[in-house]
Amino acid sequence: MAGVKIENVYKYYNKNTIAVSDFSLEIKDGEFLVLVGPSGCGKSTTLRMVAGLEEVTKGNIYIGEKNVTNMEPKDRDIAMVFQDYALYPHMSVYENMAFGLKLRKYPKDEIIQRVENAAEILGITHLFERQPRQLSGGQRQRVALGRAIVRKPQVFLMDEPLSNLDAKLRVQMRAELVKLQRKLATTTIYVTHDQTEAMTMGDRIVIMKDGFMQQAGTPEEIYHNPINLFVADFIGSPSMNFVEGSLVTEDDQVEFETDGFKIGFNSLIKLGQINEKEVILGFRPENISLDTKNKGSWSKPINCQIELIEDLGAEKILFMKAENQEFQVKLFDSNFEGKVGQSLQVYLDLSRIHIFSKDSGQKIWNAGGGR
Amino acid sequence: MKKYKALSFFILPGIIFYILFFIFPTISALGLSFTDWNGLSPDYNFVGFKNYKLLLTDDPIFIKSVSNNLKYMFSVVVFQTLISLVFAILLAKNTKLNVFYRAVLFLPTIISSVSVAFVWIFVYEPSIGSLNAVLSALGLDFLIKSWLGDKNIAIYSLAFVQVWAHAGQVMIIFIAGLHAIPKSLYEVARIEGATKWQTFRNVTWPLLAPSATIVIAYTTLQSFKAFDLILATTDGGPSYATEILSLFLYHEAFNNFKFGYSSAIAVVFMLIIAVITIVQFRLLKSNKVNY
Repeated sequence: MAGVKIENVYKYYNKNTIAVSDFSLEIKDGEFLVLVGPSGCGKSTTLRMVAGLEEVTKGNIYIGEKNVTNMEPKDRDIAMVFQDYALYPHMSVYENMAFGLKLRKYPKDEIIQRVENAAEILGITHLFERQPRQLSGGQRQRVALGRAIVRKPQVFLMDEPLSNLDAKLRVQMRAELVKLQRKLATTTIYVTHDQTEAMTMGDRIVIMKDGFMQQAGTPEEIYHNPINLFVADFIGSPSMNFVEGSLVTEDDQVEFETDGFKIGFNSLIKLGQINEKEVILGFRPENISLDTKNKGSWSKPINCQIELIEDLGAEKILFMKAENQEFQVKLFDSNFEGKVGQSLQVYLDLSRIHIFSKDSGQKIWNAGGGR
Repeated sequence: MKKYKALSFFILPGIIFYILFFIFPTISALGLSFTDWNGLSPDYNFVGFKNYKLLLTDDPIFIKSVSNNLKYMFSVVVFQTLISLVFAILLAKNTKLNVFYRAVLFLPTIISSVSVAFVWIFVYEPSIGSLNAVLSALGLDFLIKSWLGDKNIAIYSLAFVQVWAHAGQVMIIFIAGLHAIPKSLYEVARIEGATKWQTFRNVTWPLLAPSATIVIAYTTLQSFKAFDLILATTDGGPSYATEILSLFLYHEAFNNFKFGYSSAIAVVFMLIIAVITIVQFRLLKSNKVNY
């Protein structure tokens, strides 16, 4: 087992196409790290550079103590799982799983033993004789995982392995993958564009955009303390509400003002603590309440109207409008009986709000993390 | 019912042409094969199986033609498949230079066989032909031959021309097949440490099987039905060394005016092709790949 260290790595396809820029990260031995971001953000390229399938333009990659930057993929002791499973259609499940071991000339008995062990862990022993085309998506994915684990590599690299599965199976495989990773305790780098997968699977998440790392942290850190507008918007479903406005001082108190409503921060933000005037206020849909009964430091009421209600069963998403400002509210109260068009008063949890710079999009303040 | 009425109306023109130009001539050839018609006179006699008996038991040129056909077919199928496969692998990547080379290799396909024949008559010409000139310039005089005049090699010289003319076309089928193989399968092989040869044997070749099936089936029939190229170069000579079935049939009909006899050849020829096709599809049917 080994950790992975990525040191100031760049990937240029040509002068004008920069796929990954100054990426540095240390992944601990046994950690489950998720690279997440929209398509074209450089997450797959980063993974493929670790695999050795893409050349590194600049920088270094270490697996354990070994500098593998210029090594062939086969010498890096990694195994990769692909989105399309990459099973050989003309080989049986057993042959697919044994393929790498055969190429590496393992003794026959050991191949049989390793393949059987892996198949047992994944519950696919009964599929040995089948061809990939006779398998369901979930079974194929298991075989692909099996092929990866038989070699007992130092690192697993997974490139969107669940995206070809249907929604229900994806949720199930997600949990199975996490359990498997915990059991094997093999360092894993997992690429996905799905923020739910990232949040639920990763020990740590790295969010990327346009080739740059935006933020790295535990799912909790990233959810509660996003470093900029992009991260705040990308993580969370429904995403964070953003309202543009300005910070003004009234009666020696800092207030946020926009068309439609005004929020006083009481003593949460001290005078002069924030220098920027034009800001974006961010708050998650679940940090708004229809009453102030629950714990929290609630803002003054905001008058708004219900534009649309999405009923998800256990929860409801209300699409609200306060003059020109639109935002969403997530209600966990299934007894809520409001109607579209109805006027309401809502309260913001001041201890959960974020303030971003309008110019740079960077976070300037949040109740939990200060400046 | 109404739907089928409309459908049958649409396929009617096709059916009419098929009957007129395929079914009718086939049946009339079958009928003529039992006669001694010379192709010109208004009357002829029914001779029963005489034509078939003569053809199958007492016509050395028929045997020679079939054997020439087989020689031609095997050399074309083997070399055309191998050469076009090598070209396909070399030119599979979509670079500008590769696209150019593909176009160059494909070019002979669009030239008519008769033009190809004339070009190669000049190349093969024993005294002023370019092939012998090149061989002589390279000091390889011992290889200089009368390429179309030597009865031992003429059929192979022609097979080479056929390969030259069609390898580009077959290469395109292989390139399409190569492009259909998912890239990730090669990447897995790379990660697992497969050598180039192991990758070819374990990934490329098995997954190219469907393309190879098409290529082999197509090339077999193409070479079996060869006609114009040989007619325009050697016309079956020297001393029947390049006489293949289609030419034999043609000569019997239009040189010797034995239409009844040549109809019998046509029927046998058709049966041979039918048998080859059926056998081939049976053998190659299992080569399908489902990802």
